Amino acid sequence: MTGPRPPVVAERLLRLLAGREGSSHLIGDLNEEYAEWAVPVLGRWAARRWYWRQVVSVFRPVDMVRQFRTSRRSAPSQNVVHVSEWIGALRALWRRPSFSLAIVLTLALGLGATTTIFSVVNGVVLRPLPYHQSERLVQVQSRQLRAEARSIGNSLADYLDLRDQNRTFTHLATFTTLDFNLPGEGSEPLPIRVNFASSDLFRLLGIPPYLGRSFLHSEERPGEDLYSVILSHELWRRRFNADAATLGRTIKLDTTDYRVVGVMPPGFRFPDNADAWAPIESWFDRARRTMRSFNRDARGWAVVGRPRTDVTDMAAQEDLEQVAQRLEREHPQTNTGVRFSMAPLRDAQISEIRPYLLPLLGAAGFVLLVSCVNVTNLFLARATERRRELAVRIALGASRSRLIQSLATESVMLALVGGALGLVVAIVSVHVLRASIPIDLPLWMTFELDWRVISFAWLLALGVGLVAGVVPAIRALHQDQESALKDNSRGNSGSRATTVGRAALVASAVAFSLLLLVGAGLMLRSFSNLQRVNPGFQPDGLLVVYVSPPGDRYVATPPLPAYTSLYQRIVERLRSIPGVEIAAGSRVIPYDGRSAIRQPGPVTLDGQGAGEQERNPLVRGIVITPDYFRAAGIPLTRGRSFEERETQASPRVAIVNEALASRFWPGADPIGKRIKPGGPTSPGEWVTVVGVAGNVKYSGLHVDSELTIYYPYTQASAGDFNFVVRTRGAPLDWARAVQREIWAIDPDLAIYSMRTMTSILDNSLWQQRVWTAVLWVFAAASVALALVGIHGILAWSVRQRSRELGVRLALGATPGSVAVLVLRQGMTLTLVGLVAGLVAAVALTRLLSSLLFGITSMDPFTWIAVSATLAVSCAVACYVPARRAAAIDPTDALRQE
Amino acid sequence: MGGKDTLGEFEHFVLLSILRLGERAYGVPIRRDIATRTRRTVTIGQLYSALNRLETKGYVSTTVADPTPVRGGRGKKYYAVSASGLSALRRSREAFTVMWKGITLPAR
Repeated sequence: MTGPRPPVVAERLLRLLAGREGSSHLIGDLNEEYAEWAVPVLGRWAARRWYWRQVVSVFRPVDMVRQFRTSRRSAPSQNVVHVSEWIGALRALWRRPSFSLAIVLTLALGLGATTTIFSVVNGVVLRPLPYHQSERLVQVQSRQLRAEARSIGNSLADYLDLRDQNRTFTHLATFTTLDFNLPGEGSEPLPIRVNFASSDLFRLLGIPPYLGRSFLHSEERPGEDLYSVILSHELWRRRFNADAATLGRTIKLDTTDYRVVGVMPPGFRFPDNADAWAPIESWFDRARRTMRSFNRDARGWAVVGRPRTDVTDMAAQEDLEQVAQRLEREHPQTNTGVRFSMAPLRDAQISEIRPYLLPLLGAAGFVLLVSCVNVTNLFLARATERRRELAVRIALGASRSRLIQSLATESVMLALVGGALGLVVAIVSVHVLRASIPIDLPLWMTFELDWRVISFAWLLALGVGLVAGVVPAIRALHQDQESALKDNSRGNSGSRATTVGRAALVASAVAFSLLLLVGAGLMLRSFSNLQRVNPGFQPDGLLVVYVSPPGDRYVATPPLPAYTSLYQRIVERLRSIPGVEIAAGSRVIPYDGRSAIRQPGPVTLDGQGAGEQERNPLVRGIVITPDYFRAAGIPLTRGRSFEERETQASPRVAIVNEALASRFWPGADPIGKRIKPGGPTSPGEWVTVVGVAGNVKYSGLHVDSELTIYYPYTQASAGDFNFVVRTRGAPLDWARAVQREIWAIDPDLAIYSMRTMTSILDNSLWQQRVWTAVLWVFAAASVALALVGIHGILAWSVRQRSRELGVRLALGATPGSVAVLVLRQGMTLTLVGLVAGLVAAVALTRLLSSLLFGITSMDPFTWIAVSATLAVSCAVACYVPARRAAAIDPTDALRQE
Repeated sequence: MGGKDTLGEFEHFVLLSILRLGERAYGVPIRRDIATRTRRTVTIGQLYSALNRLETKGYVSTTVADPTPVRGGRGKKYYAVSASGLSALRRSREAFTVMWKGITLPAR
């Protein structure tokens, strides 16, 4: 072949479509024109495009030419598959129920798995947030440059300055979410989440209220007689029976009156499943009355903004930078090193789940691949069986492409049925998945099957059907038709290429299965490693009760703030319950997402100057009652715990954990050392260390223990509290009693949750648990399919070779040796698959390493165990065909034609 | 297109082109001839389906010859108009002439 080569793929395709006999001249003409006219005149690349266009043009008219019967001359609809085609396909499939069923089930498995994961991905990443132009919304965060740009929460003062001084945002809103009590009229107080927001929050989100109005600007400045509150649709329905007369009513949040001015549409719960929204200054007032300080250092506010559409992200970021620097100059005490950064709103809320999504999608993809492989194999086998039938049809004048179309129709139909079944599988799986996620996902994150997921599923099914069905069909059509007609065997022999192809497909199924098994195995070991981490305390037998007192009732009065006496009384009453061994309280509970939100803060050591202090790592401060260490089972390694007599009037004390002690005072006795929360010039009080406690993993089992400092609740500020109760026997048995005692003190105390520490711990690991389980389901499905594939191909091979094997037996071979022959065939396949799988796994499991804890992705134990298990399973799958081979009756076999 | 007796427009052109090219009438020059003269794109699919139809109807006869290297060793299929093809052409031209008789198109 001289001259420039035409595109190889196009040429092959042409040969395929036009059939061998018809294509020769056509291809010759095409190549000649390509070389002599297209390339010199149009240039290489345009010539290639021209070539492809010509190839495409062949596909349609060629079948217009080859008429099956003159009566079928309906030329224009030749390329549209007739209804009669569909019915014919259906009939053909009905006649082979086991074949059709096998394909549909296999596809349902692969498609179901992929659709399930896709609906998760859709819910987390793809579906737009239910706000106006949500992709433009950003979250603004304050970061402390001196603490590795750690996020530190925004302060209200900073926010107000940002809002006034920025030039690139159309809206900037801030909010903070607090738990409140809605006193019940005759019913229990309902714990609700109230979001205190600036007045433009709803405008920023672009969601108008369902009833009534949203906040006015004027509500931001104090002076209103009654604060406004806006209810969520769900709360309105639940507590107020969706009564329109609720508008204008006065309700109590804790002990403060609010007037209901609006109701939001259903499903709107921004940002964290909020039940109601109130204007900022109502929080203000409450805060003042409970002495929560409002200064520039009080950071606990989230800020969300909508940059102007004519402004680039970079310009907005620079604007933020400028404001930050100006604030730093104007308020050096509180804003040194503080900078603002912005990130898309969605990212902040999905950062935990995101790292798992890609591996999961990949795993689902592999399951799909394995099921495609099996299905293709089935189609190949079937096409080979139908060689004769196809050859007859061609001899009677059927056009090749017509036949391809009808075969494709069959496979597409099967695929669509499989896809429908897969959708059912996906619906069930998503339901199960959702039920097994114990935490409160943001409300907008649902995994339901919306149009995106459904069209994905159908398109996938269509693609699979076409690829898996058409390719074998085309292969079958291009075999030697003459020999196919004469084929008197049981129609099962195929060309050598087909056999090798089928074997390769099965081997690849083994490879994919190994890949999935390795991934699942690694995740499982990682998970069990996590479970074995010592949390630093004794979680068993602990009941945790989270209580939020109504802020207005417990005002600080000397000598003991009212909160403190409240907690004291609660602890005493809890102690009086017969089943309770120890009762205590703590502001922060390990692994509890909500309480862990309180960020670590800076501390200053005795004698440190400002420069040195900046290098101190941040420390988590926890307020506790004296019995906390005993209740939680945290060892006190030095000194003593707090005592009740320590009040606001007595010297300030604190207990540190070992990590802090060894970091700040390595080698020295920390007892008696002084430390101050906050920077060197902050108003915090110096405390003296009186004890050292063991390290506790408050942020998560996979995170190293942070530096922790404990303050006695008698000397700290007010707030919500967790009561920790160590019980005899099952903690939940005493839940009712605990509730009773707490309400005996104050019936308006909302009890937000009562959980066992064990369940909190378990829940903190939910991702590892759920996704590992999913991976194992995938791996199991894949292995099952691969084993079916091995069995299938070996059984078929034995049938093929039954004559040959019979001859061997007749000539004196032992049944054992015949079985070994078959076994060897199967194990060779397995071995090839294992090796290929291992190679692929080496490359791909690297992607998992960020999710693994305590092992590397190349952990030899896992790899060996998994490979060995798979190899043994494959051997077992080979067993039945091998047995059958050994049981062949030589005389029978020889008698066959 | 129509039944056995009538010639579609494109088939008409193909036959005329074959006549014009005489002995050199195979795929490549036929296509180029029609394309340049009628100033339309003619794809190879279009051409070959027309040629095949004409062959089925018996309006052309074919011979295979001249494999060349640039064609990858494949031969060229030469076409010639048969007697029935000629009559079909004649009939078609007559039909056109008759239909056009007496018609003047308004000036462009």
